[in-house]
Amino acid sequence: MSHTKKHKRHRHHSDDERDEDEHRKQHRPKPIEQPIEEPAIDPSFDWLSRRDYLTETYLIDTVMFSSYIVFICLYSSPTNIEDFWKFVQKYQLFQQRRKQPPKSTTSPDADQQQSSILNIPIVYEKKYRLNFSIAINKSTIQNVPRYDMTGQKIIDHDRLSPTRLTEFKSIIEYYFDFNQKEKFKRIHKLRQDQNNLPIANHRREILEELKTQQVILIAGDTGCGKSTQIPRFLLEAGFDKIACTQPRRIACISLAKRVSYETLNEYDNQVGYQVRFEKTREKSTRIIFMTEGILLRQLQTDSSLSDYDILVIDEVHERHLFTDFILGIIKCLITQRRDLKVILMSATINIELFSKYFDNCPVVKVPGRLYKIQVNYLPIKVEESAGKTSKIDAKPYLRIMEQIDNKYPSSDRGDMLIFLSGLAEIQGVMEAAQSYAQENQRWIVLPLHSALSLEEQDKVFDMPPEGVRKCIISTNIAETSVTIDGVRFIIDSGKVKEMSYDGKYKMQRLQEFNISRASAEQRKGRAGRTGPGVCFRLYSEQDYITFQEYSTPEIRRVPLDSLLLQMISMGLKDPRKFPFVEAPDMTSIDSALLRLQEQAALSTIDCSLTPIGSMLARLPVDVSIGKMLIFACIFQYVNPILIMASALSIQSPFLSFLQCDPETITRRRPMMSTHGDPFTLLNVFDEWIYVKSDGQVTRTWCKRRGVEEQRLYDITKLRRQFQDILRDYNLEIDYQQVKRRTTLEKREHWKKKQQLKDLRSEHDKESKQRKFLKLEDSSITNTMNDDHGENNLTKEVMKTTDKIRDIEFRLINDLSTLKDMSTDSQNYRSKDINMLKLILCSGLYPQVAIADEFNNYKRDCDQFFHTKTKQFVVLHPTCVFTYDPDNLLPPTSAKTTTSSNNKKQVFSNRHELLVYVTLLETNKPYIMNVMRTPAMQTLFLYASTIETNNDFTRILCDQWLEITFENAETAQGVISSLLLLRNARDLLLQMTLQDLNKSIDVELLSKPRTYQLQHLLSMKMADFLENSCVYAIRRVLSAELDTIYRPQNVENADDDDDNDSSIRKESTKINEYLTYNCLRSNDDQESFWSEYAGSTMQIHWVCPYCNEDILVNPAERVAHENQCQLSSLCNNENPIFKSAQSTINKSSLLSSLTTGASTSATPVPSTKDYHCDTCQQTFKFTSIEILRHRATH
Amino acid sequence: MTEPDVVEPKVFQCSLCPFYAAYDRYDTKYIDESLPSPVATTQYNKNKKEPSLTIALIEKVYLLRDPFVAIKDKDKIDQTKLSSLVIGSTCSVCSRPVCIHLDCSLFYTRRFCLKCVSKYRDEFPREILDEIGDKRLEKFINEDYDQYEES
Repeated sequence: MSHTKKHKRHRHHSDDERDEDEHRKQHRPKPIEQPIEEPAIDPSFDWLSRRDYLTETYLIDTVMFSSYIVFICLYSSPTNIEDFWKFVQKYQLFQQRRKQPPKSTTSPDADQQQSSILNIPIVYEKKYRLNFSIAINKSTIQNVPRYDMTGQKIIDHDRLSPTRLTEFKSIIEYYFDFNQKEKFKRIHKLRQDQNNLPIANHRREILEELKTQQVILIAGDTGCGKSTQIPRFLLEAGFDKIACTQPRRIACISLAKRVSYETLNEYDNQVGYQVRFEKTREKSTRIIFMTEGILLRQLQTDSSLSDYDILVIDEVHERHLFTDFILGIIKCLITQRRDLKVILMSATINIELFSKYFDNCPVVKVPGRLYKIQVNYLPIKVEESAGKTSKIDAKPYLRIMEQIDNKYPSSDRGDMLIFLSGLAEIQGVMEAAQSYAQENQRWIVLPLHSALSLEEQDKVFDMPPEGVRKCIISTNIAETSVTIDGVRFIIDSGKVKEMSYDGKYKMQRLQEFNISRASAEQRKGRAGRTGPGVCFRLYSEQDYITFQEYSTPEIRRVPLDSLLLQMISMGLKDPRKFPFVEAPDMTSIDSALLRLQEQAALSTIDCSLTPIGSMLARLPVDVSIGKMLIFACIFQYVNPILIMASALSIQSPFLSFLQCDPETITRRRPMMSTHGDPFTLLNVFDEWIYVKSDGQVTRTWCKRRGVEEQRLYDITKLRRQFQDILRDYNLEIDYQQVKRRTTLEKREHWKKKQQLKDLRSEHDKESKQRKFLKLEDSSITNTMNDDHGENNLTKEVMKTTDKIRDIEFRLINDLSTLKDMSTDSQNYRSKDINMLKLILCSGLYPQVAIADEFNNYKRDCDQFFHTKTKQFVVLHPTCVFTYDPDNLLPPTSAKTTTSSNNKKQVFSNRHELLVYVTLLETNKPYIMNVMRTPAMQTLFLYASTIETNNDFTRILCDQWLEITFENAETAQGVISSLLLLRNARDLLLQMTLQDLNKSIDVELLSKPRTYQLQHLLSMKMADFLENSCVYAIRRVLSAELDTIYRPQNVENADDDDDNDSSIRKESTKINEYLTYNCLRSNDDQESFWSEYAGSTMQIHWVCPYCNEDILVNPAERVAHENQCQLSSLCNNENPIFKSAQSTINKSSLLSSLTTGASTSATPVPSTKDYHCDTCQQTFKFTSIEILRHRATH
Repeated sequence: MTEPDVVEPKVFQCSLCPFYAAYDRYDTKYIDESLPSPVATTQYNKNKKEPSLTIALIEKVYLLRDPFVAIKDKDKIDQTKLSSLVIGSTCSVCSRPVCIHLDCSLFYTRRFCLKCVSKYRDEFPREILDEIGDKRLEKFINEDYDQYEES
């Protein structure tokens, strides 16, 4: 250790003596001076006892012990000062342990001796090793008197003698040196680790290629380090605006953290991330990790991505829908922006495809860092697989567990991961594995799938006790999304359940398939991440060879509606011409376009974007959810719809009924709405807000009702996001904007922020600690019961994560506002509920089902329903109606008539339909997220075709549901209000969307009118909902469609005689959706002539709008009414819409609305010649007809 | 194709090992004095006193802003309180850049790269040679030791 040279010490001493003299002059006599002769280092001196004094006098507020922390927590020392005192403690110990005190002096002349060549001191001294010196400021040494807070002079008992001060100075020096070197070592180690990654050898190659090439592909296997190192290379090479996309949001966040650490930017903003709901992006951010969805959003506002000079697209081999979409866009973009660089990163899967797609771009292949994995093919024997009905046989899995137990000593660590296709399979194998585990106490069995709560999912990362292995039974979620270290054994069932979309039935289908070879390899690879492993494949090598090479890309499995809408809104006229990496089926593109036209997002004429379509393209949600939001604004039911739409766009917060015990269900019961799932979701959310604003622990509340709280937080975030978007486009006005926070609230806010910060760092620490599993953790049923036990409830303490979520929630949301809103929605009357239903229908229609007439409405029995295209669908087990099917009992009425085909007709005003969000086929076709809606109102407001007979008593909606009225007059009344409502709604929609693109002053002029129209519509809508006219409803089978229409020969019209064309005239297209008199009147033996008479008979009629008395037949009457309504809606002087306001664009609105409706004889969309290659014929088709025609091939 | 207009970052590359890093300053001052002095803005603050410790460097070194210390309130931060990290220096004999890792260099009144230490090993006190150990020096006995140079 160091020893100060004598002469130097003397010099120091004399300096200090002078100082002390000055002190004595300045101050009153001090305590007795320390003896002058002191050893340079005194091992017995207790530095720590003077810690506070020394810290405050010399350390605080210096560059070594950065100051900002001191400001924040003045009374708890910052960590680096803590660190320093630990160092001092060690120093002290070291000095005390030295057997003899350090030699105090060496001969003075030895000190002068220097080596001959380098001129360095021959006699070693520690201080020569320091490349700096530290000086203590004079003013500090002189010790200006200091005062405490009350003005009392502080007497420095702890003052150091000059010798001790010198020693203290050298301690600081050693600490500084030590600290610098420690930190350098960390960086050095980091660099070494980086250099050991396989990708490191390719750094120069990649950067060289990038100089000349616009696009390069890096193909590297798991563990090569590409995801973390490439962004770093780019940053170091001077790229400034780097965007890296990831398919998963978790990956974005963890990569951003990792890369910021690795680039030594942990504490500034050079590396950030942006995912839905969260971003850490600032002006100085140079690398931004984002999800693909975010990049696509950015493309909408900045089509050339001018914010970036290099794009890194990771995991392209996974072929997600968005990945493929982005690649297509990039392909176009690179010709436009020659300066844009692109790096594609993939596993070594299907490299040629990507390389070829980008004109044979260079490929940099990087080997992975995987340990050797031994593969065993153990095909399931025939007798085992043949016996299986639908249940999985767990024997092969148990055999392997046994085998492992026998072959490997339990002291050899290494867990097992089993890949199964689905939930039921996991359940089956888990039960068997658990009873095996219970016997031999050597395994902990854990399930892993997306339906588990997040906490349950996290368990797979915990450590098992010594001598016990984890057995994780997982879906393909563990193939890429979840990476678990320490896995040594893999059992691969070779099966996967994959979602596909069937456009014909508009149905999702979850089917079991053989996996691809690529995914078999990926599964195998999971065993070799931390050491050599073994993979058991429950199929033969022969099977393996027959597996398809790559998995089907998502673009060929999912509905393309939203994707195509995005494409068109980006300015691509024909999505079929999009440069797909691998094009999807043209039929699936066509059917998606057709659906978008049905939803009025695309024009039926030329597939261009309608105003509502362009609005929908801007919303980051499904088309149907987007429509709900827009209509919610129009009808002023924003809050409940925001919640329902958010809840419907994420996974259900309810644990499935199967996972819950009866008590949980009972507790959940009060929230279950008789109207259906969307309302139940609304109830849960409102209830939760209530409990939260009461200050109760919502976690317990959720647990007891089988609710996953995280999803409720997600709903809150989504709700907020939707609201912000609506506000951005002026669709909803923020009435609370002006509300300012009071000082008290501000202080509260600040306090919460601090609390959040503290909790986060606490949580960071917690999560760094490894958690340990117990043998009892093995089964989920156990843990579920634990949490429900009453004893545990009292003991339950809020966990850090819960606290964080809670505070985050309270910071962002104004709880009292939310509470007020939920109180509102809990007080809704039936009128409001019906309105909400119709708003939801605006997005969900035509996802409608009608009950089968033989349903018994008993619990535990399947009730059957029919959609237009799929018969005999059943309610999903998660649906509230599964529990209370009697809510769906059909109305009975006094009067039942039997129609000609011997079918009972129930006349009532209470017929209902089921509207659903998803149709999903697993073992049965299920409808999910279901609600009941009034049948006639739903159909009349949303059907895209409404066809009637000659007196409107028989109405066919969308060619599959027929409504029959008893009374022709009521029927006409209903038709009138239907026309009015639809006209007013469309006009209002148009006005609202038009307002969006206007400058503010115009908005001021037109808004009042919008409000008035809104008011009118709400009133009329309420009337329509209360409508008590009775009707019967039935399903028309497609076979019947041939006979239900009046005979017409449209196709051969050209060469037909007068008679035919006169009949044709009678069937009148009133407007886009309404066709009059094309149905046979009744199945009765009515003659041609009576029908003819009915439709041509003219009567005197006074139009309620223009008060004109005119002689009309029914067709003319409806046409006139339709027109008159439109003009009066747009004209203020008319009786239905009195307003003194002047309107701008009135005429243009009118004309645009009436072009579709003005003439009864001409069909609405313009037709053009279409030549079909398949049937070698040329047709006169509208574009929607072209699509329909193509679908027939 | 035009190259994006980027400023090449200043990179320190050790001549004896693969270590490299983009440095912030090559300076003899531990505290960056090129930055506007915060004293001007804070002198009205009476609580502010002169720093009680000052650090003076004895050699010219490559400095990095300490990446392990968080900067909060970027605008307000006093530049004199920003701690830096010494990552490397220049050998006083051969003038090559070397990192401060004990495998590469040491400071003994001046900076010496281990190659030069190996060359002049008789000049150094026993304590230093013991600390380095023979192992570290052995590889430098062969004169053809590859220089680590990256473009």
